[in-house]
Amino acid sequence: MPYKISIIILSLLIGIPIGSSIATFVYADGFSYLSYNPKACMNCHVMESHFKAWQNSPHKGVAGCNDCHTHGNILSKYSQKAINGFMHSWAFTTGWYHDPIQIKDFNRKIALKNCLSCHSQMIETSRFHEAGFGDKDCLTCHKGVGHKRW
Amino acid sequence: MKENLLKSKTFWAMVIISSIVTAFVVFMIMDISEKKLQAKSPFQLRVPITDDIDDPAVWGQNFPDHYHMYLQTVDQTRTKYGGSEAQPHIPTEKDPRSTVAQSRLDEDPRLKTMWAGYAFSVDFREERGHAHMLTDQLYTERQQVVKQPGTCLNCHASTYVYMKQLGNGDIMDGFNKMNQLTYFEAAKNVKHPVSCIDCHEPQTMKLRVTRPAFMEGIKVAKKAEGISEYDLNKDATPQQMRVFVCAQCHVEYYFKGPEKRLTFPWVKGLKADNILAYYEENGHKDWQHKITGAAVLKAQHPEFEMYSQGIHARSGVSCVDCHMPYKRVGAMKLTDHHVRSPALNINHSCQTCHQWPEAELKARIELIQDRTYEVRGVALNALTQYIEQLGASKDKIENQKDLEKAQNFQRKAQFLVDFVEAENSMGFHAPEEALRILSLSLDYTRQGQNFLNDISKDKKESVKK
Repeated sequence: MPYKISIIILSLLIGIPIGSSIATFVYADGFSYLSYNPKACMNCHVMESHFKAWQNSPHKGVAGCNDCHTHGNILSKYSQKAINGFMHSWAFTTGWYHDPIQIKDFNRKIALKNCLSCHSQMIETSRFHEAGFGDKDCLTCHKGVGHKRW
Repeated sequence: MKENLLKSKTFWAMVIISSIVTAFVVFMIMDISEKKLQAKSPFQLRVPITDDIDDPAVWGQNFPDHYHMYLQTVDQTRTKYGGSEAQPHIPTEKDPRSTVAQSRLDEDPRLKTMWAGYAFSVDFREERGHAHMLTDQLYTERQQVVKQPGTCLNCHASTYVYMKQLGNGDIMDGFNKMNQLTYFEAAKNVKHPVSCIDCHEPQTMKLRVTRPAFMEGIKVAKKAEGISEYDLNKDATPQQMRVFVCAQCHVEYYFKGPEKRLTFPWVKGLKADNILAYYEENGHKDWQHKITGAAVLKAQHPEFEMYSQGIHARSGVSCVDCHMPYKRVGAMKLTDHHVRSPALNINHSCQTCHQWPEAELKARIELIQDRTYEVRGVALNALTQYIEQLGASKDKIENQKDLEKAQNFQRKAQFLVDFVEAENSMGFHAPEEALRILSLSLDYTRQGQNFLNDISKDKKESVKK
């Protein structure tokens, strides 16, 4: 086979997957996931009702999706986004997920840490700061503050 | 590289990897585009729907997902206290069904005593899904014992279009005419069990009430609450409509007068004792009890009335929220038209609000039902005992007024226990209310037994004197 043709074939072999991936990424609003905008989470239609519930919640003006659902420095925030992004798109594409959706331990812990990012001062002065409340945490009582779960 | 590209293993590995990646990406983009489309326009109109199409398959062309779910009401799964067991049935000429629900009369022979002399003591089976409503009514043995009126079809078929035809466009007129036909005459003209058109307005899919009996019933019920001139189509919220469309049929009713007009007895209110007081006033009886001669009543599936007394109704949760909960199909959020017991669909029905494990929620449901079932048993024991007592002594009671009084205690006790028995939730729709009704029933039985003892004592004393 002539050298030129084999180069063309090879470049197509590499270029088609890369090109179609880029097209898919752009079509699926992939760049929006890198942003801080809560609307990005709505791209995945499952989150629509949660977004609407958040818009009617007390946290609406002060904390968006990323403020509660990602934690730490920029590197850990993006790695949490990446993990969730992969899991969510897997679940949504296959359809294998519990409906209504339920938070898993990994994300619940992140959310709990973020309660303290803002409210730690108040917690320190309250009796709930001390140990001895067993398996109860902020969300046991305040589970509707971010968004009611429907 | 120049000569042997086709022989190179690396080249073929690259071809395979590249194909897989491209195929995966193409699949992804198709899936994403499909879901984007679903989110933008959840349904597409393929055929025009008019107000005269009662065939759900035609509507189903526009709403294939809803139609597919609707068809699943043929399922025959049971819960602890309800649902069908799909017993095999050898088809005969009179009854071509290949499966039937289990007989409630065999399960609980006390029901035969309670309903002695009435068609229900001949054949009464557990309810099945909506898909079976027409055939189960056609082939029940009750049809062979009594001649039933066309009124029954109000809730055993999609009759909206038929009623309109009968009344030349006037549904009220058609309703009156259908009630006066015999059941089999009327049944010849309907083909489908409850269908899309019975609850939906064909242009906008808005919920609507199509049954005249409910339009009239809800007016008098609202009047009893102090709201005059209630207009269903103007005053009901969309959430209330998600109750009212079901309440067109899942209610207590009776056939009024010789024209057999389907009537909901809600003049005094929706509670069991309100309904009983209404029947006491107008003197309606469903039949003459075979053992005691009492003029008795049959309660019929008062789900709407019972639910209205419960905590879910008070919290604004509608029938549809639990029996047809939202379900995700791709990017769409649809109302599940596979109408069924929430106990069979706990994650969609209950967990939307109650964040507990499924097993815990199921245990809570069954705890309520177990308790109701136990008290229902106590009340039925007392009632059947009283029926036998009264049956044995009725010829010895000389004073007609005394006999009528003793029979009236049975009438009241029986209606109330039957109200809980006939209601399809074994107390779950309103647990405390169910127990209140059963205790009222027990009290009437107690009064009746005391009364029988008193008059037999009086008699003995007068003989002694």
